[in-house]
Amino acid sequence: MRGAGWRLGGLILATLLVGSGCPVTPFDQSSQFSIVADADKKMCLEFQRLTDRERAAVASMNSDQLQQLLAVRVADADNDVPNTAGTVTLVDGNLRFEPRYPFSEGLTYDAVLRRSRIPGNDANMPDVLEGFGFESVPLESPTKVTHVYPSADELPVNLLKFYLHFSAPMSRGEAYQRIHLLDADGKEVADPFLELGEELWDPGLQRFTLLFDPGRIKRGLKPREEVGPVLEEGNRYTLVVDREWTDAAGYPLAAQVRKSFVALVPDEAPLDVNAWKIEPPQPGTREPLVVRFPEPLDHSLLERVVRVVDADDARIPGEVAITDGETCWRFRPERAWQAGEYHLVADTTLEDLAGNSIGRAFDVDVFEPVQKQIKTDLVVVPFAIGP
Amino acid sequence: MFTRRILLLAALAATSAIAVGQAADLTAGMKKGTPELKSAGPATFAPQGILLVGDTTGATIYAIATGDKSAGSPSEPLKIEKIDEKIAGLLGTSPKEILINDLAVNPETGSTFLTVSRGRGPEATPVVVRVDSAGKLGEFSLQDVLYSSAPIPSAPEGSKARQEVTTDLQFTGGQVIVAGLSNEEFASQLRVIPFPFEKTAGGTSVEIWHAAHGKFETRSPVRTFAVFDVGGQPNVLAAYTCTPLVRFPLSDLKPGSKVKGTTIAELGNRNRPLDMIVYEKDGKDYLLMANSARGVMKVDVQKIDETDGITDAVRGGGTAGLPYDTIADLKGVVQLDKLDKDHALLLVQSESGSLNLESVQLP
Repeated sequence: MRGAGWRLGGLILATLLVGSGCPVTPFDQSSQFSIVADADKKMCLEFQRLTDRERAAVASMNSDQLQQLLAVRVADADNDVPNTAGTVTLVDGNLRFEPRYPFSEGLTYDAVLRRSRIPGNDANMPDVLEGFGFESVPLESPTKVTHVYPSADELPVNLLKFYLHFSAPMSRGEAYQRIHLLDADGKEVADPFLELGEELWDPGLQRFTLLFDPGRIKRGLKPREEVGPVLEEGNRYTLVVDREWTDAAGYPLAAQVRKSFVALVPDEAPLDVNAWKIEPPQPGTREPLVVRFPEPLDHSLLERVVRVVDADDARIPGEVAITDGETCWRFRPERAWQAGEYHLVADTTLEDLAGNSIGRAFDVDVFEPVQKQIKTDLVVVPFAIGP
Repeated sequence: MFTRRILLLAALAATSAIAVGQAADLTAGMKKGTPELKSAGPATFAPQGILLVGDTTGATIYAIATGDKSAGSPSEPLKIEKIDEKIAGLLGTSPKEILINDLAVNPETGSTFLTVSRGRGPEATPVVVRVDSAGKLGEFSLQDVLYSSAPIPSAPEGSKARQEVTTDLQFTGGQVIVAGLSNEEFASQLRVIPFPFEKTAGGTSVEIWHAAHGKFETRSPVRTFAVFDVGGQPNVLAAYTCTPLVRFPLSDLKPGSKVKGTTIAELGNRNRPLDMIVYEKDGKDYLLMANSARGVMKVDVQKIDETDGITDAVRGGGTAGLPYDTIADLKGVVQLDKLDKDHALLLVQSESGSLNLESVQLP
């Protein structure tokens, strides 16, 4: 229902359309209200057509009375939707509405000035009503999915997660509607993922962590007993990311993204650092130190929890690159390598694609104590760079 | 047999406050100012009108003295339809730019506090909206409030990408218990932070494990939980992300300990727990849990201390452990809290996608 008090007779005198960051001049001279920027560059609504007598009268009104004089609300909202929060003040002889939060791009508002409430005005004086809005400006290039990890097309059947990387910040709240898992016939797999209202993003909303439902991975749990694991060995699947997923600016992605893969044997073994191959670089160069793993590891954890320290335990600064389908960790130091003893250090939280970590499987079979458990938080692998 | 009794969280909290001295002012030591929340996520109340809010982006738990006063007892059931649209209008934006992250009822006043994101991108503004017991809605200003905060250490070496997402928090017995989940490694993060917050402490992180059939163990993250009394001892009743319902004594949450929950119910496939409360009705104790797929479940926890834990596989759609009913009338419930001794307050997603805030009789 339209707010009856707002658009009397459906009459809208003019519409101001101001693009984001645009100049503050009114859209056209017939507009009753103007859009101005305050000292903090926040867009405010102003009525600049008070008469001298009205100005003097408004100056004597208290803040509660001023709030009643000029109000703004979201256009086309239901009647019982409250007015937009903000404060009304007299600034340089003009009546200004400063919204509590910035006006939204792509949204229109209605403003009303109840002019009859200014002392001395005729009680029958009509309200000044006007719609105004702010155009949203699309990005120069649409947001893309830049990477999907793991990048391999053969993945363990007990795969725990995907990471989706985006070229620009995304929006929260629709992730699980926009991601699908299809089987080889193109049929959607029901409920494959752990859906968390909070959504697992990095702070910049450019990397999304998609967990498979752990109840269907972990052995011995009811979801898995009832409907089986999400993935079945030997079958092909396609992860689909909808183009309609909106970025932080409210625009859809550049294109739909599909990642096809085959589910292979389960990986239930913990990571064994003894199987890592370290290829030391030549001293005096900035060639990368290369560490090769017998299986792909978690891309994000590889970037964060593996590092190189010197014989004095001081961290060597440099850049990490993850290559070869996440089976290779390359570290290029800021300064040339010096001959000597070094240590490769990894947090034991480092995981493979199935959530097995260093010295510990994702789900430990406590009745078959074949896995030696590592109790420390770090593993240290010594290596030398020869003269 | 143990005597058992479920205490409402508020009652439990009140008991604790009495235990440390009735006059203890929980706002003592708080500073006056404007807490710089970067996000407003899970929320709950401590006694004396103190709102606890999890700020995942800012990796902090805030305690805010609301000074909330009662608007009087409601004469009729509370129902605010399309509350997302109303909040959007108040904040001058469209409903699609509003995310309601949690709701918490102040048990001392019946006011509801909603933690909201205005905007959905990384620049979203956190807002707290208050709905008084008469249903009047307005922004709760964080300007010049008494508050304190506790950091949640997010990552060593200041990683830019890792976050510990707070999924639930509760106040009990002078401490704040925070459940979280990492966006990288799969591990449980249950943190116990003494309250009032100390200057330095981010609390203790405890590993919570889950053993299926006494056999396969994982460090399973906790999705939602409630605290209640079993045989005079406070227990945490937790729903894991991998779905079982477990309990473990609060006293087990000690630094460096490895806590393994006792599975008391397996609530079935495709049943993702969202939120839970405990309550007493007609002298019996119940748990009310909102789920993503199976509606709202009412779990009879009378025999919780006699349940030894589920050790065998449950097949064929059956359930194990404590008996439960699915409340068919309650569909689309995404958040819930206890409004008073007879009512729950629900945030319900309607078929059109809009959100309603409504009170219902506790079933």
